[in-house]
Amino acid sequence: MQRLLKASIRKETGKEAARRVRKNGRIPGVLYGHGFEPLPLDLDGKEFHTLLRKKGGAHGLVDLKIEGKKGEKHTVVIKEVQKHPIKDQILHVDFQKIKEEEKIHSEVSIRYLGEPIGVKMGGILQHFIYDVKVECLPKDLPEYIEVDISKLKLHDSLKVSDLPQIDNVHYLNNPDEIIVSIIAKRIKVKGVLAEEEAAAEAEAAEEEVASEVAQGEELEAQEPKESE
Amino acid sequence: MLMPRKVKHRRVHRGRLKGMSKGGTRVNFGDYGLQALEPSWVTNRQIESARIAITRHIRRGGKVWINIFPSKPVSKKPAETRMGSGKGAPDKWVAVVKPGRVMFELSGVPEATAREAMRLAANKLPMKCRFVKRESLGGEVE
Repeated sequence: MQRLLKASIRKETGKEAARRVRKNGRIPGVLYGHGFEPLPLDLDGKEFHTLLRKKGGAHGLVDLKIEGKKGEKHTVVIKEVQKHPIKDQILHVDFQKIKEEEKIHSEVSIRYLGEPIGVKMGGILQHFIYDVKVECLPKDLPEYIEVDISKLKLHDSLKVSDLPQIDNVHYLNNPDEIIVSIIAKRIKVKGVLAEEEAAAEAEAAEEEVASEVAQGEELEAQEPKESE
Repeated sequence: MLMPRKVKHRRVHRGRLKGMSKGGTRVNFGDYGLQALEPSWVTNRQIESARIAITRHIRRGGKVWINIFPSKPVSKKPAETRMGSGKGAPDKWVAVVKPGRVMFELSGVPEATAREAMRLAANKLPMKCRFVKRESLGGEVE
């Protein structure tokens, strides 16, 4: 099911106008596409946040209804969401208009099923990529890709080539790219890690002594001056 | 401790710390991160101290990433020296950190452990920090 989002046309552009839009609780955005003149938009902040929390998040197709333009409706993908580094405020959104007969490139999130055997044995599940790039027709775009990782043992890894093949969907990532792997935890073996820790502590202690010596030398150097 | 292997110039200007971080503001490698909320120079000793605080708390397991590198030399004149006679000798190495920068990342541990580890690390750093999560874990998008 495609998600619906309302937007209105933004008449003013530039940073001052964009700031005014943000002050009113709306988010500035733009709609562009192949053979389509870029259209500045603004949309309701709360509505967009709700959309991001829904199934599919920032991925997947969205029906963008433009108010004031005879209720024009476009099928779009969210191409980019710009955020403030600290405030978590959304600054700007890019939408790309898609054509039903044209293939698109998009990112799809990966969902994992089951708990790996390696993790039960005490390993750590390490993620390398969370989303995979795909090329497909808009109608074939999956909301997410589910993959079973319950059979992964210690030191095993899951590659892009191991992802389930979906009809008419082509993965763009390198097939050898690792998605997740199960790595072993660092286990304290007597004499190995203990030595490392001891060495690190000794190093720290040496530095402290060195700094104290340096301070002492400085003080010694100062003393004759004071006596003069 | 972290420091460049070789540098083009032994002494550099101090520069200014203004504006927000331009990149590295999201959690990219691990699941949890420690984000700077104020601008500051972070010395290689502080980075090392924070790293030790994290690794000691998480003990076994987990993986730590350090996303900042102290590439800027800071010079200092010796104590009780008259002004002049050129710039002082390099004293320490610092990383220039602006608000928004995710400095440390962590994965492979429960959230409560990660929070505590990052709190301990933040105590070793010269600026206000906050704990952040990867977007797909429900963090950052409010």
